[in-house]
Amino acid sequence: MTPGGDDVFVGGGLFQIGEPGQSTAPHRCGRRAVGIDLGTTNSLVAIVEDGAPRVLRGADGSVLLPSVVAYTPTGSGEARVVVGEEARRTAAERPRDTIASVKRFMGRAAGDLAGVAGMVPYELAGPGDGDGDRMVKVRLTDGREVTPVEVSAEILRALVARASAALGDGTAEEASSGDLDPDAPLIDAAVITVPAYFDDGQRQATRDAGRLAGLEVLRLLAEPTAAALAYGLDQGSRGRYAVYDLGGGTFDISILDLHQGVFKVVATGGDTALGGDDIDRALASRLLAAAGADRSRPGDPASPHDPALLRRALDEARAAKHRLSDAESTTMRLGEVSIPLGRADLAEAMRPWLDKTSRAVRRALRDAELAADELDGVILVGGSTKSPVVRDFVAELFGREPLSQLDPEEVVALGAAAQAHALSGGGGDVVLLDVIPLSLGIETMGGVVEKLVPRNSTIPARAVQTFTTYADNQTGFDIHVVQGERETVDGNRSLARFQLKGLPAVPAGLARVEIRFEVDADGLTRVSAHELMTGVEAAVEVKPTYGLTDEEVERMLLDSFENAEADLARRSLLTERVEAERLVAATRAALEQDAALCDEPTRAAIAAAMVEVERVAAGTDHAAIRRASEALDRASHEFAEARMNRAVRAAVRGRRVDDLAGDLAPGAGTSRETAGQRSR
Amino acid sequence: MSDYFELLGLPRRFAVDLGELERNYLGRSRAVHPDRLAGAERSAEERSDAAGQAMEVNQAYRALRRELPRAEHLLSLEGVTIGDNQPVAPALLAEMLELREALEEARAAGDRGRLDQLERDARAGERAELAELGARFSALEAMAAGAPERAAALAAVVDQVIRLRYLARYRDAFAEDDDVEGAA
Repeated sequence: MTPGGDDVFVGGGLFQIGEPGQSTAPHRCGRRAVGIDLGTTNSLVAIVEDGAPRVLRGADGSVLLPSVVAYTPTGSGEARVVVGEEARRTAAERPRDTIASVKRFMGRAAGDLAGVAGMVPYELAGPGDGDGDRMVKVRLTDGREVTPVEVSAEILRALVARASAALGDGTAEEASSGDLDPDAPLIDAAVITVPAYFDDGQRQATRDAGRLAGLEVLRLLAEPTAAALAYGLDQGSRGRYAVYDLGGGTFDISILDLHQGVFKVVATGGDTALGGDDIDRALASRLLAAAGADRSRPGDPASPHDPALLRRALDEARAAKHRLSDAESTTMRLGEVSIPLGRADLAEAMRPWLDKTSRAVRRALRDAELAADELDGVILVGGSTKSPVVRDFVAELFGREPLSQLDPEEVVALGAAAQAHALSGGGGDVVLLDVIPLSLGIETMGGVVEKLVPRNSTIPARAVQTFTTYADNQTGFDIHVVQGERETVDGNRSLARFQLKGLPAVPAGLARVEIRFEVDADGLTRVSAHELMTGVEAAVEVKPTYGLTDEEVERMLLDSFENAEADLARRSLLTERVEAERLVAATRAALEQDAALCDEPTRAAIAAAMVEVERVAAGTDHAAIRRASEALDRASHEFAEARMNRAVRAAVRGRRVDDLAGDLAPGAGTSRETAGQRSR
Repeated sequence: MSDYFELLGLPRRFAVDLGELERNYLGRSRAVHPDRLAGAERSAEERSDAAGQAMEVNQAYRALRRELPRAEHLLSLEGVTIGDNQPVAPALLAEMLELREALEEARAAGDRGRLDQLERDARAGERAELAELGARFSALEAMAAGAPERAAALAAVVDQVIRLRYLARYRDAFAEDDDVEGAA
């Protein structure tokens, strides 16, 4: 816990740096609250205007912002963070500095991720030594480590910027004063959606990301609930609906009951690590297997595939999957390898994951005490439900055609915008009663879990239970808060530990400790304990294990301001020099090794570019070094491609990718970051 | 101990009109839900009060919606709490052991059809015992406050509640099959 930490923030000092003193009521009319669907693969932002929610488009006209963040190595002299389509496009070239699907890591500790570590192209840092450092981190090529919360905050900032730009025209009279763009409305509050199945740590991490992006998080709203809201089921209708949400990385099933203007979530279930990404990986594995390039040590984060090759395979797998939405068959290509892929193949590849969803559906229906035919409708959410394979599966599972008037990719953001509007004073007559997705309890003797708040309890929720001491003269009481459905501690997520001290020294069973759980409307938990005889108390906000303390948020915010200045130029120069030297050395080695793959004019062009890099690297203009390095990249692009193709051909002849990595990585051109990584 | 019947505007008795419970619960929820205060000029204290009330309403609904927690709440209003270490009739324990053995056998054999049959039986058995609980409550509630035979009627209710606790736990065991499967 962080005593006093809350005061720093609730008082509002830090988050109002851009607009001092404007946090309170008199300026509310100038504020705009948006709804944000912070997705695994894509994110969206929407707002209510003239009574109706609409999704806001980016400058390129698209509604989807790819949830991809690319970090430029420190000191390169360019914008340091790129979010969205551009980051996605360059992911294959800069795999270790480009982070996709970060939502899967939200609120996770490094130990949770053994299963995916080998199949992501970037490097996961192990837990550090410091306290509170257990959150998983991604290590960039320049050695910086970023948390999923920071990466998500970048996506949120990009969405807010997109919304400001989209609303910039014609809203000048509503805009706030201060040093902001006078045409852009102030967007400082949002409803952010989370999978209904997110546990406390994952919700906490999402809220932290919002705070880090400078947003007041009005509510964390469950995605299926948001979708149901968007469907306008609140318009006087009543009924029971299932929301089947298969996104890029998560699966949710929720059963909702609409009645008397109250939207009640009856049951929810799902899997936070299941979605379209799994399909991509399954297809990419087929592709790599066809290329003879099986992963040699599955799950070992220290030996992933060659990152660039893996990224290419994943991109091609996703593209092929999308092509099958319209076509009956297609071809997946990697270098010179190609394999045919039909809808039946896709269905077969998806089957294990779809079967997992049907088990979750069965359980949710059981919790709701409903049979599938008692539902009034089934709503589809998530990009993966656009696939005919998934639609057919859902129709069969529920015995009815699902509703699909709204775009399953937009529906969540639209609902979030409606709720943001209602919560920021826009009115709205619907009350949402959401539930807690996983049971909350404490560890008792022998590692057995005593559940205090069962899953699917309506929030806000409170539960109180009294426990007694088990030893004579026991003066302390350890409280271990866990979340999950298993009977023993091992199978559940540990949320927090705290201790109640100063119990009266009495025989076992006489001291009585009352433990109280309070879950707020965001699904976040607070646990307190007090001894009934003496009144001694202890309490904990459940978050330090995986979330960020207020001090950490403060430090990150300050860092982001301070870094902008002083030593940046110097660091840039040093970094660029080192990078340039590595690049030249790697290119030279590649030329010596594979001279045959390179014709004479190309060779001359590469040599000239190398000389130029070495010349400017002796100077102090880091931007010039960067430009020369990029020129060298361009000059050697074809050569690098030739080496890539040769490597894939070699793979077909039965060599393993790990052997090939030595061929691929130190090459010139597109594997520049990889070279830097490997030589460390 | 709050009286949840009073909180949700229902007569304090075992037989509850579920439609009325639902209507009153939703009405109260609308009235106290913290979101209703959002955007308005309210102090943090008012919001936290509203959150506390919403928690209480949700707690009340959870206690009254199902028969077993409703019965336990009625008993606690009578000043009776049933601990986990309550002595149990040996006949009940023997009966439960037998049921559990049948369940384990079906699980070990991986016999899905048998498991489904046992689950249907468990639900049917529970419904019958809940009807019996209702009858015992009716008898108790018909008696005047100070009636001498009341203690025996109350004890009969307590016995039935204990029996139902065991049956509910047995029925829950079937849900574990889904959980285990789902976690695979």
